[in-house]
Amino acid sequence: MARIIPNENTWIGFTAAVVADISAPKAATLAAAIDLTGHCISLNASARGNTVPTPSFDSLFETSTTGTSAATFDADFYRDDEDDLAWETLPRGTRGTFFIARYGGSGANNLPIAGDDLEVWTVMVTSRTMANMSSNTVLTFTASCAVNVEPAEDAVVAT
Amino acid sequence: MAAKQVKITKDGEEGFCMESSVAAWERNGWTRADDGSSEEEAKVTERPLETQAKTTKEG
Repeated sequence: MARIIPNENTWIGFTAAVVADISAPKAATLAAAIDLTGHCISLNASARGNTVPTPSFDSLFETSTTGTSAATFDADFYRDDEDDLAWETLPRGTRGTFFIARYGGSGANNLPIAGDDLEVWTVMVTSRTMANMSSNTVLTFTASCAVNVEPAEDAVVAT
Repeated sequence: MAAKQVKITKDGEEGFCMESSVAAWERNGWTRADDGSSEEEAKVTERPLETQAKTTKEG
């Protein structure tokens, strides 16, 4: 493996199914997920940590300790007058789980199978926003999500 | 957010989707678990908000 771009590598799926163990989702769950790879333009699934200052009078060095962490999730998708899958799958209020195999999986069309690495993000769609409509520009929208479970960024597909 | 959701299944997997998106799920092999005459008021179990901010008492 080398430094790669997401095109023809990354696989993105979404399921409504409850994933019992997000660190080891079942291969069958991924196989049943809706494949949104071909509808996705960009995706931002990222975690952020906070540090808490802990200075004291006995030192000029300002120490800190670990604080809380949080995550954001939003993604841009195409609208399509013949196959509007992403738009129809992700209305506001939808609960579900995104599977992100940044390097793709070993299965057909980069589908992750048992043993493959991936990220698992359990979310709820908070908005589904159309991009500004303008001349000579393809119609797209942004799905913004709340991340209501700590994501599994080092998950491995189970059998 | 209370919203009407529909129970759907595929290959032993079970979940809930918004009423407006049932057609999209059905095109991908999922089927609605009810008869379509009444939508379930789904109460999807939420896991604890583990990452929600907690007051840090250090420092």
